[in-house]
Amino acid sequence: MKYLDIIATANHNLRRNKLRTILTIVAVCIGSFTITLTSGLNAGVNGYIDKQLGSIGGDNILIVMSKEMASITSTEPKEYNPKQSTSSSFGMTMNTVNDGDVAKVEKIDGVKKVTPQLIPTVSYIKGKSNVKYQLPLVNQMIDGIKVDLVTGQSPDNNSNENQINILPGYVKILGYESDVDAVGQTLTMATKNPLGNIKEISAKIVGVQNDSLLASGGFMINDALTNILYDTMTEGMSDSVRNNYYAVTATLPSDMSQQQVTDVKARISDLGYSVTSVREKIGTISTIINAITYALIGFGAIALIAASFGVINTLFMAVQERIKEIGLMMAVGMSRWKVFLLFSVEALLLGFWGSVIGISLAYLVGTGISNYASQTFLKDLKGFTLIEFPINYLLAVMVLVMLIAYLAGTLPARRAAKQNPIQALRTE
Amino acid sequence: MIEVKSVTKKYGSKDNSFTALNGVSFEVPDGSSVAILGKSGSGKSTMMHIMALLDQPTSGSVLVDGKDTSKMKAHELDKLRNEKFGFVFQQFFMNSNDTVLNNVMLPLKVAGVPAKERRLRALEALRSVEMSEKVKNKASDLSGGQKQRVCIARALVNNPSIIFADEPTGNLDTATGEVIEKILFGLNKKEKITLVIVTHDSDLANKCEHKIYMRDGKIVSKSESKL
Repeated sequence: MKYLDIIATANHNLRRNKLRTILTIVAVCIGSFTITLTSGLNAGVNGYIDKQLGSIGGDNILIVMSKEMASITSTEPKEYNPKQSTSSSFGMTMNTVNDGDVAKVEKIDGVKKVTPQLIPTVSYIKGKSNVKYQLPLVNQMIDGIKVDLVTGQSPDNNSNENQINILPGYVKILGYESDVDAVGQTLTMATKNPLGNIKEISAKIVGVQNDSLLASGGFMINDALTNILYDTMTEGMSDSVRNNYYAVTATLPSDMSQQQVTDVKARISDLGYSVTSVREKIGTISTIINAITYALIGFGAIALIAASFGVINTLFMAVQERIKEIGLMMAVGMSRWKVFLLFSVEALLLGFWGSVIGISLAYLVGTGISNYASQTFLKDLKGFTLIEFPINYLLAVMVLVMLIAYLAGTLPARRAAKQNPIQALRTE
Repeated sequence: MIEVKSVTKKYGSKDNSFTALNGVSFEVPDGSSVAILGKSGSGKSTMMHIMALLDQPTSGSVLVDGKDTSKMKAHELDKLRNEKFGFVFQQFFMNSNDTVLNNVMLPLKVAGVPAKERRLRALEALRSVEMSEKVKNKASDLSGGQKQRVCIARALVNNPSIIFADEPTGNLDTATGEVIEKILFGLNKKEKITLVIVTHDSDLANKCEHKIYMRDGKIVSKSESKL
């Protein structure tokens, strides 16, 4: 029997008991649907995080802070230590790092650049429309970050000009016609000095950026603008106060290997600092998402295993029903191997149809959910597709499902192939 | 030509064995018609299965055209059965949900004949048993006699040199049985197809050139009819 005839015959045989075939396909379908949807969720979320992190360039941006500062965020009980260096700033007691620390970190082998995190605050911004708007946050531009831009460029730290990126939601209300129109315009930012007097600073809009996990609603500004804002905020303060920072950012060369980065981190840590990479900070989200989606994929796998018993059962019944037919086919010269193939192909076809229908359904439902999400609760995170279906994921699910169906089918197919033609024909 | 040489077939284990055939030897010349007669349990069906290469003897050998089949590999036996043999069974063994045409095409499908040729040859075989009008009917819609004619068409479709018929008229009334007999012996005369018929019906056996009577796994007597 030709292979094409085997496939055609197997397909024909599946149609002989339509209800049983459909029920088995439904079982396979449920498993593939679950796996496709959850792996799609995993791909969507991780893809977005990777996109965010990929623009940073992996692990080569480190956040360095004092061990005490780092432990503030931790919830573990800590014994009071009177020797801890504390500085009082903005009415808060903080364990900060200072210029001495910056110099120490800069000297570490492998560190390219150290930038203090100044955390400037802005009272309001004002554009062409002349209406003042509050601004929750500005982010210092770090060299090496590729900002997720709608149009224009990211702020340039080497420029003496005050440069800023704005979020798409602010374009219209600041008085600009479009994203492209906003680029090149000048807006006004205001901050308070320690005496409470407002000072206005002008800055050039060099680009419009998408909001992201990293930006968390903040505008990206360059070093020149950061320094002016910080100088205004700390006007008249002594250097010992001014030069205390919440944390410093250490940039490493982008071509560093994972091992080299680990080594640099160890050296910084040896000097008594707490050091984390940006990937580690955001990576926790990824870990949680992975844990959830892997659990869901696990459920999908259980559904598939249950479905594989359905395949086994269906085919055992088919072998029993067609036992005389098997005997006759063998009598007229069909080899055992071809009989085995005939039933295995039936199993493969059950897996094929189950996975095609399951994957298609998951694709439709997933795309629907994804579109709904990006119009509602994920509206602000532009470029975030909640559920993504990379073609290799879909193919992998299909191959996996068909493999499971095939393996399930080998048991009944073996029984069919082992028949003795005379006994098969004699079976009542 | 099929030569059966001191074939013995035993079932079961050593202590509790049952001898179905005990040193049976005979020949089936090309183009002849041979009837194997005997009561149920005489070993006649087992004899046919071994001759048709569906079963292996415990000892002894079956030679087809001078070749010892016990030395052949499984796929060679499959090929031999597919190309040289045709089978007609008492219980028909048709796929009742399938069309007459598809049932007849099965041996050609197994042989790997292209679909177009399969169809043509099956139609021709059905014409020779006068079943052309029922080509598209389901097998389950046919009467017993019609079913047996379709089975003969199926046995004929691969142009066999031998047809093995196991009680071909056993499930049919006398009139339809005679039609089937006519077709089978017609093929034997016109197409020179060797006929091996297993039966307990002596009327049918009398129409064969050679008769082999069996009892308890042994040949009791052989006779030749002068036709």
